[in-house]
Amino acid sequence: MNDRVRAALDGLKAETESGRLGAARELQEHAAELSIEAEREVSEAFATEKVPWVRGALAQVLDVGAPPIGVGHTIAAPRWDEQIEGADPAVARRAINLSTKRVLHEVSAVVGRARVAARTDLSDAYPASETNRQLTYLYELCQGLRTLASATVSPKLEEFDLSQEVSALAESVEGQLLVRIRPEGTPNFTVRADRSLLGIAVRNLLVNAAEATESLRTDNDRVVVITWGASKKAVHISVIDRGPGPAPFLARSSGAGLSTKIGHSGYGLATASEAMRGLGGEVQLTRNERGGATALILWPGLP
Amino acid sequence: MRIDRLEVSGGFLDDFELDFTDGLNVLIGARGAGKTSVLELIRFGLGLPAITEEAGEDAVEQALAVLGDGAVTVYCSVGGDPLVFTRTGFDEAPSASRSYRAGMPLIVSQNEIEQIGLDPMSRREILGRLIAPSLRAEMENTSRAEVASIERRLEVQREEREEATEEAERKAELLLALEEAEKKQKKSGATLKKLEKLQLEVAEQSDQLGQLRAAADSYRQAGEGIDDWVEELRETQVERSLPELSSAAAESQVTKKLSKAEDLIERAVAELEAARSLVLDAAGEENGKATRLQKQVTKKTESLEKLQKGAGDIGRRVSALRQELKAVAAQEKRAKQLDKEIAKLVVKRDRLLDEGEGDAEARYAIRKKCADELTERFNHRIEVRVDKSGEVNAYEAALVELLQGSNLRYKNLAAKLAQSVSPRELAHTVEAEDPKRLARLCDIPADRARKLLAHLETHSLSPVLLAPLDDSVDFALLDGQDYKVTHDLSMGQRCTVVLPMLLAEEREAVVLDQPEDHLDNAFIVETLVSAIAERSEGGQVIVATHNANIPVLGEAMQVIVLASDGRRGFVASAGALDSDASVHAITTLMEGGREAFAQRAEFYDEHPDE
Repeated sequence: MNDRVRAALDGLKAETESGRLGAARELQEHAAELSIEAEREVSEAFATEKVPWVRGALAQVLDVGAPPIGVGHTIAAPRWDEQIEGADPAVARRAINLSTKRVLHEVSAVVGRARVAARTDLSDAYPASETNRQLTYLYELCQGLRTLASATVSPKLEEFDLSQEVSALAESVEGQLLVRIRPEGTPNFTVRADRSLLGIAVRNLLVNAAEATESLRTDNDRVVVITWGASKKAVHISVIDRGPGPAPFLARSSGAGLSTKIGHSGYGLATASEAMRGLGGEVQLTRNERGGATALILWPGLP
Repeated sequence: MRIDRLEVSGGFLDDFELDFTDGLNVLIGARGAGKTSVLELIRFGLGLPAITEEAGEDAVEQALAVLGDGAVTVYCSVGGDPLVFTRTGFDEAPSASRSYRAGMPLIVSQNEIEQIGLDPMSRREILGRLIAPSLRAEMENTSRAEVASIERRLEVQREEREEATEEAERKAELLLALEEAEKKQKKSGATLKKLEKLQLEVAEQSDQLGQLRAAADSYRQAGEGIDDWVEELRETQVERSLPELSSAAAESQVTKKLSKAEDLIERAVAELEAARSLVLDAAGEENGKATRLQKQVTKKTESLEKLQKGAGDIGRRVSALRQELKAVAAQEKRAKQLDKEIAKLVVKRDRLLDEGEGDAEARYAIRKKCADELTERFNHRIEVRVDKSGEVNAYEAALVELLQGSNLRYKNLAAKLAQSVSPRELAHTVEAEDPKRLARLCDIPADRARKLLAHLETHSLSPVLLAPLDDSVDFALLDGQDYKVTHDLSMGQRCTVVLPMLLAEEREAVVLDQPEDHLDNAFIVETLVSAIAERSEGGQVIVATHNANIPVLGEAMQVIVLASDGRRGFVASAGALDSDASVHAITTLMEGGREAFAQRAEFYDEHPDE
């Protein structure tokens, strides 16, 4: 990253409008050469910027690249099975489920033993070591695979109150992260779904939104809203955050394993998508006009 | 400000007296009983404006129709201190019992609730009412007048600099001309020597010519003298006649002598004429010489004059060019000085604009904080959004005016500029004379940017820089999968958003006229009633309504039943919610009577909502 880009990224945090506008104009000049980390910083600034000219300039920076997730654009969330072309969806899911479990069976114990051995070998130096960082990442990957295995089981449909389910999930995620989650939907709302699969999808999207939001500067921005309802054909759940929004590379990439959050495996969105496919549904992602993202779950879940 | 009492004398509500309590006051009554009239008289008595001018005119018309030639008195209190407003139909404005600086009650009719949602200024105003008065004072911006003054000075100085620069730009051309003129002047050095010689010759010959002319003149004068003499002699000869003498001898001698004398005279005349002839010959000779010399002198003089003229022209040209260069140098100096002064003024202006920006940031921060608190209060179901300097209408209007006559499609261009470039950024780009940057900023072709810049450079940007830029405020409702802003909401949804905003204000009384129109009962129960209930006990609300949920579920402190005999409206009863009169009025007027209510209840019992 060149010095001018670094200075401009720092300038996006300026107190004055003209300071931020100058920085945004500088970034427009270098939009084509921004790294993923720089794009993320621009996305964060865009999410909280409330001056039209600065926001316009930042939107142009984020719109560079083809095909971008421009402001207001929606894409289908990436999936695990999208590269298994022509396969029967149920067979593809079964394949993912079996292979994931097999990999986990082989790898989990090795990872666990490696972590114990590393802690012993490095002793006090372990917590701050690169070994710890990489092993933790490996552990998170295993956790992601474990969730994916759960997301690809055959669904067991039942009827339950979505409002209670969402409120419980919100409370659970809120407890883990320094973000307030506001459930706001129709009370006593009965849906038909696999409680576990839907839980995986909602939890992953909530965690994604909360993690995207928790680095924002003010308490008022660190809020995730989750709402639900139904149209004639489908039930919808929206998870709305004020974070940096989906990074432009998401639309250019082939799907799972990429994250806008540095240090995260990026499996959450793809796993949520896989879970909803099991229910005949899908997950869509939109970069909101005013910054942040809306992750939308849709499935034919009316009783 | 709390409304304590209303008194009306004259008109449809003659002798009307009504005391209001804290908390929720509900006015009920059949249609035509005067509910809206009471509220409009409160508005008229307090001199409160409506949301739009048109609504304001309608409100005044209605109040005047109700009041006739009567008067309305509204008793209020601010922090416990009484404040009384009185107004007749003839008064332009109400008279207050004392001077006051306090927030006024908010009176909103149903139509106005919808209008607030659609009108950006009203939305900002509604948010402004929710900001603490101490913070409102901090939102004033005072530097605009000073910026305007600097811009006027800049305009004058830029014009002056342009003139000075134009003059200074002649320097190269003048230096070239001077160089050429000086070369010519150098060449004319040889001519000067020739000129001196010629001058001497002309001077000498002129002397000679003078002498010749003097000589010829003296000959001429001598000739004239001889002529006179001859003439005198001839006259003597002619005029001398003697009388006859008595002696012939004497006469003969005399005659002889006389004859001799005549001969002598004749001879003298002849001699004189000969002398004159000599003189004239000599004069002719001198004149001939003079004429010849004169020709030479004339010729030389002509040459001399020609030489002198050439030398003079080049000298004068050199002198004039040097003078002009001195003037141009002065203009050059002036242009540089003006550059410095302009730069200083721009720095000063920018500093003031920075201060203004700081004020605007502070104002935005206050609004944003208030907006975030409200969003939190509404549990994010309604999101109150504030964009700093988002209200660009005045800026766009200033651009439209500025671009008129530019031969550009200025309306679209002005809208594009207002959306994508800040006024300061535009001013700096024009001051830097940078068409490429302008093209990039506005996303327009380079050719169009050049034309735009050329037009802007010749016009003052003051109106653009000074166009008031305020924050834009919008309300968004969580509807289905995502938020929708007021513009995209249905009429009922707009009320859903606006009513809780109006009721969030607790310092001043809020007066609502039939807010239930366009609203379903579910909203009234979930949002309106709960918003009323959430107000603290001291937060006064006066509502005229036909919906029983408002007084009953809102736990009204007072239910006022209005009635009319067709000619006059009056208070049929006023009391607590559970008073007999209130219960009777609610069950009959609002629920359609106990029997209807019982039937409905029975129906609901038979058909439970599972």
